[in-house]
Amino acid sequence: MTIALTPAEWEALALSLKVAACSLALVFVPGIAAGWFLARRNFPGKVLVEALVHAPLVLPPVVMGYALLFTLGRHGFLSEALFDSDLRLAFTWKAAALASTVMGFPLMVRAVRLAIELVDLKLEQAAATLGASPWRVFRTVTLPLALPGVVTGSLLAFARSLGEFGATITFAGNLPGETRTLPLALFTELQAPGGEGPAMRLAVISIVISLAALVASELIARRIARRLGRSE
Amino acid sequence: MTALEFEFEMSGANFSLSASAKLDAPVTGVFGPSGAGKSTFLNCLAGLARPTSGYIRIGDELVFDSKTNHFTPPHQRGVGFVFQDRRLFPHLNVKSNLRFANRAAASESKLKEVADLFELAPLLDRRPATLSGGEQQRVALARALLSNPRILLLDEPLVGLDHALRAQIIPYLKRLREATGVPLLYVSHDLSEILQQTRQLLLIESGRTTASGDLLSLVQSGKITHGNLDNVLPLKLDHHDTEAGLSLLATKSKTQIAGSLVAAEPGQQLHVGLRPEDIVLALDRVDAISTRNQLPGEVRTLINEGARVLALVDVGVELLVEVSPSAVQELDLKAGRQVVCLFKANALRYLDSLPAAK
Repeated sequence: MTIALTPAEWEALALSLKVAACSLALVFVPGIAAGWFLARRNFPGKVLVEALVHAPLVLPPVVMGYALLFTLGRHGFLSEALFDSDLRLAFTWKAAALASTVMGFPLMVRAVRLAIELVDLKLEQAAATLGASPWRVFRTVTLPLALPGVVTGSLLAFARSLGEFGATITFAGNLPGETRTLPLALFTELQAPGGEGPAMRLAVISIVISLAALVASELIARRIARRLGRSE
Repeated sequence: MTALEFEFEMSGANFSLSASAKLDAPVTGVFGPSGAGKSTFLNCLAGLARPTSGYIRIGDELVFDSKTNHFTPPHQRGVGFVFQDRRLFPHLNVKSNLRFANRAAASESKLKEVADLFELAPLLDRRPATLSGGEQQRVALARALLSNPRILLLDEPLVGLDHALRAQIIPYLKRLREATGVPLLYVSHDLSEILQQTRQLLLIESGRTTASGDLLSLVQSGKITHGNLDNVLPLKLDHHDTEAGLSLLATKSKTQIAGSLVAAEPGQQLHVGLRPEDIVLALDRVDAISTRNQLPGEVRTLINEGARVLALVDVGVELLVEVSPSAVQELDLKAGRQVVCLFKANALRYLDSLPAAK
């Protein structure tokens, strides 16, 4: 077993990072918005919205992939209605990113929501009496104080994307260079005779990236905690 | 112009508040026991809570009116609020906390002026968590002032501070009052603390505002039924008599009063508390007696509270004196009667400075 990666493995690694970065970008703003909304607003049907947001956590990923195919696939009902059936999303790397986004969304929302719930409402009230509009209160008080949760949520969504398998293979397929991310490549190697060596390399790469992301987010969270004046 | 006028009701799951008054004093003391609804009252004024019905007018602007369904949100009300728990932003240093309020005015000179008023210059780069309670309170006062309020609410500004810190904060409260001209609502459950700031009161008891007006008129009409009444006298320190262990003070009308030694310089203005039950009335001067103070005066009026009677005696300043109903009969106390007020030197409580170390 050699240490050097084959071109196909490099491809899988690069694709995985691209897909994870894209899905993080997609999940970031909506995740924060939804987290704030669930933490700070009460409305009729809130339980239903919560259940919907958290569904990807409990449903089998393959079912989520199938749901995406059903709605946004080539003949999905949303594609037909919105894009005149011209949407070529399924079985592209964008589909892989979208599948990861859907799977990572509840993790982001959950982390942000918990962090915002911990921000003292009284500080927000004080900001309002000092003349700050609700949007300014959110930007300058709520969000900075909830930043550790935003970092945690981002890490979870990113890591979820790196490990995402079921929804991706269902909605995006397993096309080398297009949708074959690290877990899919690993799975494919294991299916082939004599693939244990490459599979082990891919597994090690996955572990290294995940741990690196974990350490990076921990370092960022500590810096933020120091800036917020909290003891560690 | 009336600074504040309101008449509103607020009902929640387990409380209700009904408030109405018209306030125009530079400083109004809002007095009531804990749990009487003072916080809800303040939240309604600031727009942090919405009354169920009624109206609130600040200056000449209607900020809440249930008839027209009008509600001005807190950030547009111009109501400064110094919270009991201070609520400084933990992620911002002192300077940024002040800037947060000053954003609209955006003038560094105004910020510097207010920071100087509260002597915050050495603290500007510190985080709130590293400040003492008294320092935090000064930052909170400065921050509220910098938001350019039309009216300023102080919720229990001395609560949680020990005697020494209170003594440090009180001069800043005085500066706040004098430097700004912004009408103040000073909220406390401690009547003598309020009386150091003002004698104009608004009373809140079990969820309703019961009366407002001058302390004496409220005492006379029997409206103040809770809390310890206190005479709060502004006195000027004349000189120390270290041999006798006394400090001699004078009222505006030059009446001399002896108190225990105080750590202050001659010429300094001090607030002194003297409880009505610590004063004894006699018809004449008493020669052989240990009390250091014998002030001749005239009874202005008697306030009958049933078990006790309060006599308002003019000795150059007006003192409330507690006497029993039987004493009223025996001494034939009535308006116009000449009496002498007797009290010990150590009955005087220095409210804004420390007693001298022995």
